[in-house]
Amino acid sequence: MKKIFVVLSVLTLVIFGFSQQNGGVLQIGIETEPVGFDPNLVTAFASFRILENVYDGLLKYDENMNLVPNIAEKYEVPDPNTIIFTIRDNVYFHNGEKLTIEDVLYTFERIMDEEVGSPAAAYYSEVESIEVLDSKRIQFKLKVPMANTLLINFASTNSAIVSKEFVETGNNLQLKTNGTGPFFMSEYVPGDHITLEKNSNYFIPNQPYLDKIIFRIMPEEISRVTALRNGDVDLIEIKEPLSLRSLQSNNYKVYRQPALSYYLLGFNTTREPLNNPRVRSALSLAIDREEIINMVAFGEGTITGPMNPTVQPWTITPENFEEYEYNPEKAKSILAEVGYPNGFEFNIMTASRYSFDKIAQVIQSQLSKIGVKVNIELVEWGIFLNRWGGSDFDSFISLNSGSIDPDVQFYRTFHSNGSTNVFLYNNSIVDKLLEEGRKEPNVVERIKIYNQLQNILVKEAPILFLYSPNVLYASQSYVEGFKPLANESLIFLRETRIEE
Amino acid sequence: MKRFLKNFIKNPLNVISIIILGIVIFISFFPGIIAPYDPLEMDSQNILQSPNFAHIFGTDQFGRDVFSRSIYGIQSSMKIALSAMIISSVLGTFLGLLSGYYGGLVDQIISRVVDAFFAFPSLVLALFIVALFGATTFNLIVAIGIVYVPIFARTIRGSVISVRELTFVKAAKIVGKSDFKIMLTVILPNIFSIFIVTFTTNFSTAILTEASLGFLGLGVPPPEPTLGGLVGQGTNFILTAPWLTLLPGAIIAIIVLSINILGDGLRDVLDPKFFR
Amino acid sequence: MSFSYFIRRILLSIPTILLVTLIVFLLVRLVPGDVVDMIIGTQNFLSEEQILQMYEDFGLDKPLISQYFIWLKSLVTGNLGVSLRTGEDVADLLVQRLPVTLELALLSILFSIIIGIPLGMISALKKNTYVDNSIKVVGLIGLSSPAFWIGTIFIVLFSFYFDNFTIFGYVSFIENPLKNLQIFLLPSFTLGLMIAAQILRITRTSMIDELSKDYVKVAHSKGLSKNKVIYKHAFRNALTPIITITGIQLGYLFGGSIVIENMFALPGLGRLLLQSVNQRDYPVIQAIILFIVIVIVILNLLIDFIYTIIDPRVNLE
Repeated sequence: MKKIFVVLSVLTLVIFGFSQQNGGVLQIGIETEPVGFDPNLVTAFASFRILENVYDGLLKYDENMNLVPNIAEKYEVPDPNTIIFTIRDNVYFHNGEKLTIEDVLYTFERIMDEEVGSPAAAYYSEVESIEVLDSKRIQFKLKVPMANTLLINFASTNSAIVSKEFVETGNNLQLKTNGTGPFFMSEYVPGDHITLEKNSNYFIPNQPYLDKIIFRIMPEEISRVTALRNGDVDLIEIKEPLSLRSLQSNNYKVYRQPALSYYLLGFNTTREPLNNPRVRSALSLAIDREEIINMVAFGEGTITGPMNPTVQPWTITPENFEEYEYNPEKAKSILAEVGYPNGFEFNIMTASRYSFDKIAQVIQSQLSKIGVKVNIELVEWGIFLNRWGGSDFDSFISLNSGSIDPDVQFYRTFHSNGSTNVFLYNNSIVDKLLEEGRKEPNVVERIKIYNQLQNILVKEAPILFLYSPNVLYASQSYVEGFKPLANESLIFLRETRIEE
Repeated sequence: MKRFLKNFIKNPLNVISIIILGIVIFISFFPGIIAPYDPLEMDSQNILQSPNFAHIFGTDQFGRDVFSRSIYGIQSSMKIALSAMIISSVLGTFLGLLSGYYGGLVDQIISRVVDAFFAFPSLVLALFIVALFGATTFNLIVAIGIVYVPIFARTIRGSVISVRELTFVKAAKIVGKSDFKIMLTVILPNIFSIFIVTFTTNFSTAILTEASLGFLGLGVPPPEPTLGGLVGQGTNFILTAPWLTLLPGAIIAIIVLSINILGDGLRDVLDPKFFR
Repeated sequence: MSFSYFIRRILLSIPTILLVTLIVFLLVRLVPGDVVDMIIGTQNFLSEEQILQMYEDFGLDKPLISQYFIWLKSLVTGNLGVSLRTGEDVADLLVQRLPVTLELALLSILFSIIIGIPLGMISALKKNTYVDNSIKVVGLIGLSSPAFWIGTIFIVLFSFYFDNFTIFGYVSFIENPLKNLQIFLLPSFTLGLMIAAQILRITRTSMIDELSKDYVKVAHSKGLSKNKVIYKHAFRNALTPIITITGIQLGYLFGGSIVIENMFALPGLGRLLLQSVNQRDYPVIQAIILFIVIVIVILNLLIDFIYTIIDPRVNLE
């Protein structure tokens, strides 16, 4: 009897030991520091990377960018104007409080509150009412039949659920966190690092695997690469694709994920001569996007049309647009036709981050070949954001996050009332298409609408879509289970392990 | 004068530095003659090449010729540093003259203000001004110019004080020459040598300050090349393309070294008795 | 002599420090645009109370002169405002970052003395020989080379030849003393080299001056061994100019730390300054600049006193 007991115990220990490839500390070198920690308010990419593992939304993405339940254990769309979420019963905030339906209601009221100023508010503009049906279910009623389109927004970090009590008792979420995610923020030393620790009460058992994640802020690429080579960190994000050349050996793993985000040259469509769509689309002919990708990203990128080329069924790939052909001669003749035979001059506003300034320099060089003189205005990030918001520019280079749904991709950017339409673009046909597209339930019809829209966008070119970068990470060979998503999200950190 | 020149040329280092500086001045005026390529021209076929026959300093990530960019960078750095030094030396000498000649309250006020500015390390003050007012060529010149005013003011003041007690100055006063005339015709010529030495010593530091600002990203914005900026922009590629930082940096070192050797040589040759 | 000199020097420093605060104050106010807009900018973390507090702290509705005195008062009470970026108390930030810069400074001075003084002495002793000339040239090169260039050379060399050597980043001494020293090795050596060049030159000059003095020749003739004379007397007397030069080097030390900290990713005051400049975080920029300058003024004062103690012969009229 004793013998069996001993054998069983040993077996248990062994099995347990093997399945417990858990724990450990993962050190990640990141480039930029988060700016604020309030999930409903932040816009900085770096903030998202931290918050997506600290807070949860009603839904989330799986590794193929499909929507799956999260805090909501299921959702129903009884008709195109209604969504009903049923929430889980076992979700707790990091401060111990249980998540109730009141918190969900509170979160969305907060998001839609004009005074709060959430960037997600625009997505919920068609929500007519939110009603708590019972202690587990909440219902969203929409003014237009766009339920399926709206669902995507529930997976975004900006729509993550916050604690009503925590906020109402005066805590500033920008500075203090209290989420339901697999990790909680235990330490933040500005300029140095952010520490996340395992939430042992996470509602998905066995997640997360890691005990701790330390995001080390290392703005210089060279610091990150040498830190990886020295073994000082386990994982780094790569912003200069050339760094991959020094990480060729088997000691490292390289992660390459084409992103949905896209670089763009945005125009102020009210300023001469950029107010003429033919001028803008002529510039497209004079810009060699392939060269930009090679010079700035060392080939780590893909030319993109208005929708990312991987997003089916909405995408129209670039070769279908004649404006994407690199034809400087044609560009010149079009400019001559509309009254600028000797070219013209204009400014591109840019900041020195995310390679904006580098892209600007390449474009400057390319356009000089057709007689168009570009002046680069390099400004501080704060000033860039300010002027961007106030449309105080001729044009600018920026990076927009992309989506798998055309409404999220286009609405607020191109609708004349859109919250991020800093281009002052006003086209009533486009407005109509956008409004119809969001409520059209039939996929085939919807595709037609958005095809028409994309064609207009490329022809009129309020912005030039340039390319989508590849998201690049590199890690030590012992890191397992790390998957950056196409929307650059790192939610799979909850499934990442260190195999020692 | 001739004696000074003779002694000066005796040291081969002095001669070499004069030659180098001569080349630098020539480059500053006529960069286009030496630079084989347009410093702004991008070439996607030839990015990040290591130094070779076609590009003796290699190319950067846009395929731009680093040598040509360095040449134009020399022009840019010289332009800024020299303009700044002219401002510093003129303003500083003016203040030093007033302070040293008149003494008393004027001296006290000027000296206190000068000391306050002098308390700022040069890079810190320049950085502060550029941080507040933005990095344009004009602002850089003004910022660096302000930084070096105190050293001129102090040094000139010191030598004016020692000169003003000399008999021929007193004589000029008795004769009734106006203060202004005395300062101009009598004192200035006698502090000339210390002026030259102070100028050369600080000219080299001014170049280093401008280069440091460029390195930190606070210099003239891209795509205009500056030597410091070239080094700063190249640091991302230290592991894969070290020539981007090492070569422009070497140029800075060589120019500054030449100016320092020149300064030393001048100081050795001009009798130290004159400015003690 | 000492006491009245002491008092006089302190009294002279006070207007200097006040003027420095005035300069910093005015320069910030001179920036075009509304100070408040500039300050609030696009940051939206500051709570209502913090924004109101800022109005009060800056006294923005009052005339410029009152603003200055209000600001001065808050400085003296240690209220340096809050960071626009993170809402943190600026004084706390400074305290947090100071140890790194301090460690860098001390180690750099150490290196500069270890390298500069012996080389300077050797150079002086072997004046005008091949050794002297080589050392002089090395000194000149050290003086002329930008710190960031020398630093880059070291980084390239170390990353190519040493795989396990941590070049960038920071670990505190308390956490891991060995790693901490390893991290500071390159940066302080680089900065130290720059300063060593100056120290070398001044050591050489003042040693040569001392050695040519009469008392040295007298001691020689009295039969004292050459070494004893040199090390004991001449060196001690040559020390005074060396100390003054170290004072002047303080300015260079702080300036250099901005560049070095950024190159080697050390989270000290210099790096914070650059980050704040890039983010237009004016309260932090102001505070660091003030701090640096005032520390330099005070340290220079101290050095002056040490100077008079070491060499009472010196008459500093």
